[in-house]
Amino acid sequence: MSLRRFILKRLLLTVPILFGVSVITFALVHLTPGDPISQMVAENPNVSQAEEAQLRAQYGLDGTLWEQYATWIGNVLSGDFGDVYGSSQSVAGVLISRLPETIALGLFGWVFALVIAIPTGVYAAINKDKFGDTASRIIALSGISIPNFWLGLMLILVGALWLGWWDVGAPRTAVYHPEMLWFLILPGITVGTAAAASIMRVMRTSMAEELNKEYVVAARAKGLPERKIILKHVLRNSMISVVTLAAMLTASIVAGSVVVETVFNWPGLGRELVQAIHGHEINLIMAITLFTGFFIVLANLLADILYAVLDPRIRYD
Amino acid sequence: MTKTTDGRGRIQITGFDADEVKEREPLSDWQETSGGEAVGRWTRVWERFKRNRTALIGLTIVAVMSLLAIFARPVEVMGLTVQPISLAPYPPEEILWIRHDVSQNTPPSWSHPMGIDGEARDVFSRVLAGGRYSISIGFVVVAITGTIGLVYGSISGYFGGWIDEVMMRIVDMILAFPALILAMIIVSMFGGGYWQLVAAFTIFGWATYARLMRGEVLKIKENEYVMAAKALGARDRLVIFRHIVPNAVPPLIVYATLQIGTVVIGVAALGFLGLGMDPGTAEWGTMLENGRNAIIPGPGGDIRWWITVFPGAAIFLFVMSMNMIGDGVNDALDAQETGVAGGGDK
Amino acid sequence: MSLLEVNDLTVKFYTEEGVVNAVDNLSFSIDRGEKFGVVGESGAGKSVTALSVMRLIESPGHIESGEVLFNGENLLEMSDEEIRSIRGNEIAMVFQDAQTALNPVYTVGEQISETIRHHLGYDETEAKERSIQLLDTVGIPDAESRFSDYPHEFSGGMQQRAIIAMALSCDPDLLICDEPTTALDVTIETKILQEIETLADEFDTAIQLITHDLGVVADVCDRVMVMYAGKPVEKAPVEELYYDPKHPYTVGLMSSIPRIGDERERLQTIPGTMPDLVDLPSGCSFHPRCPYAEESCTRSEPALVDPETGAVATDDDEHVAACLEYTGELTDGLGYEVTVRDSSDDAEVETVAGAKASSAVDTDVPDAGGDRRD
Repeated sequence: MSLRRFILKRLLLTVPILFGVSVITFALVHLTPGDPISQMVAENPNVSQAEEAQLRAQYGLDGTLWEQYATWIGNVLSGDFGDVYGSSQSVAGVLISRLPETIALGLFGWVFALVIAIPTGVYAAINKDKFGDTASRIIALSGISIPNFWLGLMLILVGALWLGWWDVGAPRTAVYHPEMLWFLILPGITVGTAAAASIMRVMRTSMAEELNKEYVVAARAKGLPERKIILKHVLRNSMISVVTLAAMLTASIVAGSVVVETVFNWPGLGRELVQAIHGHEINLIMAITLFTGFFIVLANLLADILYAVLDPRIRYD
Repeated sequence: MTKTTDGRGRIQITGFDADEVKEREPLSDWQETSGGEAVGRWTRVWERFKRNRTALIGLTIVAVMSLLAIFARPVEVMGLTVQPISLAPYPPEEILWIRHDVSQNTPPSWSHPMGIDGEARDVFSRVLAGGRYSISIGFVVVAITGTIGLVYGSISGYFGGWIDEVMMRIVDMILAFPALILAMIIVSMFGGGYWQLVAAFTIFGWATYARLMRGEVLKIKENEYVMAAKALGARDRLVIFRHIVPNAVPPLIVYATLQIGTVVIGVAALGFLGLGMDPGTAEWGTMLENGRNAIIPGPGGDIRWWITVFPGAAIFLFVMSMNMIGDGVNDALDAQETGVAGGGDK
Repeated sequence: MSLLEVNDLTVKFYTEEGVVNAVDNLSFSIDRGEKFGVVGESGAGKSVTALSVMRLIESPGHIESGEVLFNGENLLEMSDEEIRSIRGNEIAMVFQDAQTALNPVYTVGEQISETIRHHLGYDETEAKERSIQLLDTVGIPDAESRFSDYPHEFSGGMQQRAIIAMALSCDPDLLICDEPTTALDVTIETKILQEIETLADEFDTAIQLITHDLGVVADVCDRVMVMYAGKPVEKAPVEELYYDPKHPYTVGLMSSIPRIGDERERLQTIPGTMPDLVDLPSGCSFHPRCPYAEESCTRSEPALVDPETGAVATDDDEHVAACLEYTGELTDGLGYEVTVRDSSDDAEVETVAGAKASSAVDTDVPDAGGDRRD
């Protein structure tokens, strides 16, 4: 199977998953008690039954569940995610304004994770069971164990309060401004730490495993320099396991950004989601959840493709 | 070959009598080291686990923290006190300035080793009792999701075909969402509280177990003993639970151990986001949520670090210990699987 | 001067269970263009010997003492840089399992031309050209298009051919073949062995062939060294070893080879297994498995001697063995007999199939083919 056919096949497999993702998103919000209209009615006894029905119609909450889903998914496919009840902004508008903030944060987190984890993992594997390895293992274990919200608070405590390098409450520059990098440091580290630690562990294990394989001895027997053996032969094989992990880590970074944005008061989609949940903004909740699901499915797809590029054996399954 | 046989015929050796060696008395006291001793599989896993110092430290910390949580305050079940001991010096919810001579936001001291929080409550008492919710939810969730995932995955893997296809696509769909986001939405719909939190992590939490289990079952299904059992006409249910499950379980155990830590963080994260227990509850995450405004320096510019450091450190310590156990279990089982006993690797 | 001269090589592995004496005080030499066989069960230290020659022993293994002279230069004293310029270039290695020796994520062609580029300084196109030529030489059909195939697209035999091509890519003086055919089908085994033999002649390369299979040795080698528990127990020209084996272990190995037309009721295999190298038996390591062992065997460790004279072996001795029999310390002697049957009725079959047939059949005999247990 050529790489192109492999990609095409994976893309087709994605379609039913995306459909399922939309069903789950919808079901989550609609199969449980407490839609915003009943809440509105509960809070405001003056609303008449006729008005309630009208409100339901307005927000697409009348009819059977199936009809509601059809209306919703139809609107979503045409780019209409409905309005925010509280502010009557369009949900799509909120998404578009918040998205860059979250992307900036997530990207910073990913880059931080890779830059820290890959060299450390390689170092640890090469120096297995020596001091540096032990130290990096303890750090990695801490990294996967530390709750990100607490890490964020601690970074603020140290970086902003004790060292005074950052000003917690101060307004930041626009998201595209280069100075933004400075403001991204603390939340970026917070969001990337768990991923960095996971990659470090996987990198170490898979690298150590690869180093024991016979092709490494064979490469040495060919007289290749150690550097080349590690960077060319071993690293590429070890990266295969990291790529398998990458989609999972993307999910962890997405989930992490929800918490971290709240800690750092970062105006992204995650903080928006928390606020939407507190405010029972179901259109917003559904839109962000659906978006998250889509994003992760696509990340999975990308990881699969990257996997096939790195490992020629996969394409021939 | 031609070299050796050209014109010289066939070589035959006579007089090399192996039986002589078996029948004679051993010449020296040297003995062939017999391979694996006849100990049970789980005994060997436990033996290996016991030799792992890190894992034992983790196990000790988890045990101590769990016991502290249980004995921090008396436990009542339906009005009946089943556990009367109270290790925490103050009731975790008590606002101390009413009856004691303390003020809000006091740093740690001998009488209050972790200080006093913004509502004039004793942080030490709260941290001790604060593990009750997260830790117990962690264990309960893992027990339930592990069981569901085990059954689901076994069925999917064992029957294969379109059943497997459909069942696994459902798992794929669930795994497209981060568990925390699903839990957030479920809690937002059902409201906060203990069993709501359990539900939040259970409803979709089984998916990973199911996927793991299915993978293992697929591997084991091809083994001869399973084939043999099937060929002999054993019933499906019997084959699954007698032959497949016991052999597929090790990776699930490793995941479950790590999962306890993840759920504890998840419960705390929901608490931190204000979606967990009631705001005043002494639960680690909820305490951090309460303490967030303590980050902003007080009137004298003092930094009230103790309010956020201790509850978070408790979560960190517990989860780290749980992960240490998980790594130990993984190593113990792994070695068992591959038969590499005592090898320097891994 | 010999091409390769190994003197008093001792290699130990420091493991959790204890110190493994993988190779103990081993000496041998290989002449230019010579085909030298190393035989023994798995765990005898054959592979460790091979890796030591290339200085590829890794932690927890350590070369304790000895010297490895290649063209008169001690490889063990060279800098990393120097030894690398010899590996793959002047000494090359063919591995047991080609599938694991090839990196799965690079094309076969790339892995061959990589060596050529590295050692001979060829550029991309020149290296590719030479690689294709080599693939063709080792008998891979349609070499040009196979160049860009990945290892998993090759059959086992072809993978081994590719490994041989890789080993020959820089015209080495010495080719170390570590069980080159163990992982292959018997039919392919013969072809690969022939290939190695012809190519070695063609390239004027010396061969160190490591195997557990006496049939393979008979096929290819000029001289043989039999190893047991990290030590050499017998060294001889190949014919002498077959017609006049001196060490009971060699005898045991030979009597466990099944032969077509064999009228013995069952094979005499060597009882027991190779001892754990952490805890070796006292005296002669082979005594617990040796039918001729006597009390003295548990006390003194036999040295390699000339079996005729009992004098300690020197470099000039063609045939040496390490058994107390030859120093007069055994009372009952070695009660085996080698008969060469010259029956004319099956002579034809014999000359054609002889050891080849035996090497083919003995794959199923556990004790002769100890390595297969791995």
